[in-house]
Amino acid sequence: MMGSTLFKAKHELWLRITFISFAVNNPSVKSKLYEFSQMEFRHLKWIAQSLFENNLPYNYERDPKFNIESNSFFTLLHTTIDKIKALHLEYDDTPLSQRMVHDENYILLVLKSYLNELSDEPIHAFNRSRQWPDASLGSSEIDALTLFLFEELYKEYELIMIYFYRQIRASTPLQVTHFQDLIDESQFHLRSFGEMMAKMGILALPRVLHPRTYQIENMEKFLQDGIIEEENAKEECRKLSSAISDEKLSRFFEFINFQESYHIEIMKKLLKEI
Amino acid sequence: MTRNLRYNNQMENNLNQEIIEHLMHPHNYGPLENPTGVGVGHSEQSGEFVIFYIATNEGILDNVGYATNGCHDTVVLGSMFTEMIKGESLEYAQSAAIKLREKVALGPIKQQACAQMVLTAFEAAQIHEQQKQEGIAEELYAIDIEMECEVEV
Repeated sequence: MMGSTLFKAKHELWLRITFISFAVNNPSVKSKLYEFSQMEFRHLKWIAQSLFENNLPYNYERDPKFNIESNSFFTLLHTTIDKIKALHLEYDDTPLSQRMVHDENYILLVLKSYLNELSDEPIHAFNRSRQWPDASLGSSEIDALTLFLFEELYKEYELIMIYFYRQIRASTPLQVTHFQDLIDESQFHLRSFGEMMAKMGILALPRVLHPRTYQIENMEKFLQDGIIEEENAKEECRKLSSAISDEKLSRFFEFINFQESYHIEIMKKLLKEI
Repeated sequence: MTRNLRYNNQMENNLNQEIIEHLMHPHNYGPLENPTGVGVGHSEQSGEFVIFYIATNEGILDNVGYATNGCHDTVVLGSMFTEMIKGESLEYAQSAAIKLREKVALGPIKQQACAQMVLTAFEAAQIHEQQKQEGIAEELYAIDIEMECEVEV
């Protein structure tokens, strides 16, 4: 029987593979790991749906010792392999569990092939260097970028998990679609910001979400507040874009800023559906 | 209390390694298993909150914890404040809270709001503990605050 323990382990595995994909250097490994992380996210959704349909509780708690940091590519792989193997002991014999086992057996195969075919290499994502390797930025620009990334990485994770929670409880197909759009948007931003933090050596897991954060009783108010918050986020992107002298980086934040505009439109559509 | 002043100046001028560590790994983050008091500082306007957990024994804060959906200043202040008062007497913690409030009063409004959120939650946790001792069985004690912290880049 699926339960909250499995949900918790899966939540951690999704985060682990996602953040390792941000941390590793090899572009093809990075891309493959991110694909796997999205697979794990779908598993997580199916588990949450099953738990919700069976009136079983689950939450977003994580093990207090849960950590992904390492300065070795191979250590990251070995830890992930061990975690997947341990997870398989939690599965039952339902079609969903069988699907997850098959997916993860393939993931294990690929991770083990990396150990056999690639060389270990140092991981710089957690070294706290706080340097932007693609351009020369002043210390105030680095500070502004650092604070923005910490703030927004957490926010995107928070939004993914709030929308995820509400999507499971959605009452119309259109609500499900809008929540999925919002999740996809935040997944993209989480990936963008996570990759940037890894480049700067400040990649860290987002803080654990307290149930007060995602157990939203008044969704209408949440969306109305969220629209204001997105407007503020747009302003922060605009400010950061102006504060950063590097043209390429500045354009990236303008691009994110513009994305937020349609994000707000999706939230307005959802508001009409609530 | 020099840590608070240092934090204030650092956030104003530049980030240093200590702040980065608090951002990457906030100390005492998350709930306690058996708290003697649970308090919330909450802004109705923004939806931001800090929830503060205390576990006291004969007037000593054996353990403390906090969680927030607030900004990075709130995270760092919560991390530093909990680190400062953990293992200390309630009396010490209360005086530390007053001094922290005085220190951040010299800084930007945003930091004052963040500090108020953390300190209000701590105050609420103490009220909750007192209520429990008096037999009033609430899950937690919440205090609404009017200030809100907004992200500044």
